Amino acid sequence: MASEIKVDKISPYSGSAINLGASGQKIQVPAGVTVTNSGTANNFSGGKILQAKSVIVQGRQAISATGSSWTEVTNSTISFTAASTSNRLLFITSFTGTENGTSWHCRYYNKTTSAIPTNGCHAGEGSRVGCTTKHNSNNGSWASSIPMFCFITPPNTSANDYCLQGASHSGGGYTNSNHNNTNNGDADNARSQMTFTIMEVSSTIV
Amino acid sequence: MTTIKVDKVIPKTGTSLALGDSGDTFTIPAGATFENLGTANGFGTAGIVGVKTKQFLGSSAYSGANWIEWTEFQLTYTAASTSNRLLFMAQLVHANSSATSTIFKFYNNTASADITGAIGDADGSRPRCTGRGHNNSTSWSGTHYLQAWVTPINTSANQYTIQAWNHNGSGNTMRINSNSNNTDSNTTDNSYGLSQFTIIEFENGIL
Repeated sequence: MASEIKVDKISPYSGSAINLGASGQKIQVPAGVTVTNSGTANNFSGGKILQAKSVIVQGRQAISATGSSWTEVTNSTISFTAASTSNRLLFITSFTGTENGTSWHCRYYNKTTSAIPTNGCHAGEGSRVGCTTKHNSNNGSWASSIPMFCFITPPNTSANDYCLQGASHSGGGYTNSNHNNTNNGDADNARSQMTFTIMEVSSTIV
Repeated sequence: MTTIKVDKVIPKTGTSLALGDSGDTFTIPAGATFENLGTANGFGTAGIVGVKTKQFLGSSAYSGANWIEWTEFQLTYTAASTSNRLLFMAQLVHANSSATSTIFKFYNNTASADITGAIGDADGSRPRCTGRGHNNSTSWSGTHYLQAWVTPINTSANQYTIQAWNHNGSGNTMRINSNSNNTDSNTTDNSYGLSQFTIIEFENGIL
């Protein structure tokens, strides 16, 4: 026969710690019962995606930087505070860009540390500029939506402002539209949107 | 240290049982198991609560003007809560039969409506899309990526899909996963890629 006690509160007899069971035993919360944590529960988190933040970037913006310079995409900044530097930050973005018959590229940037995020952008090779991803437009009528996927190592557990940056081969780059930007209802001149998302992934799985 | 051995602990009065006071620590020793068969509040979020994906490996062709649904990517999803958020991700390998633009958008077939937060802003007569690509030769194709965060409009089943619009209209043919020629040859030009549409539901509080 199962033994049972009826009390309204269980407290440590001495000190401030109490053990629930022992190795090999099971403490069970029966179906229909609610257990609420109003304090701190360690190692109970069921999910491995700990937090996420996202920003939608609308509108056409000029990407006029060339060479080793970069243009920050306005309204693309996410302030993100990592819970642990052992975790990893998954950066995912669909970046829409264009140029007038040549190349354009884009990258992630940490405005707080004034540096590219670790593992988030190629550092460059020789005189070659590093970027996260790149594409081209054969003419001013076209544009492309391309992926930017990276697992970033957080530099610290403070707030860091991350943003999108772009640059173009001849300085005629734009976001979310084609280069020509004619006001008519054809596909060439469509407006798109970009979504920049950061997810913190637990160190237990990455 | 005192020990009591008991098989069940229940409230003496009412339906609530308190564990200690502020500052106390309850420890589940290594090797012991704490199993929840009821409801646990305040123990952390699950993070991802649902995923559905639709992968297409064939090579389909579509002709026509204006927005045309690519039915291969119809994906029915029932959100657990309208407080959660849905991450829409699509990798599209595509081509068309002339050197021109193709634009794409996520669309809700059940609501017969565009999806808030998944299309570009209104600007004059310009079409509003999620993302876009282009093609320069019938021998070529390319891969583009669409992404959007979507607020579920309800907790019923909604059929989401992908629509495409090619610039040259009805005289042009769009093709999925291959180049426009779709020649049965082992050249790189004629390779097949795969396209995929995925919806991931994130629990409220994660985003």
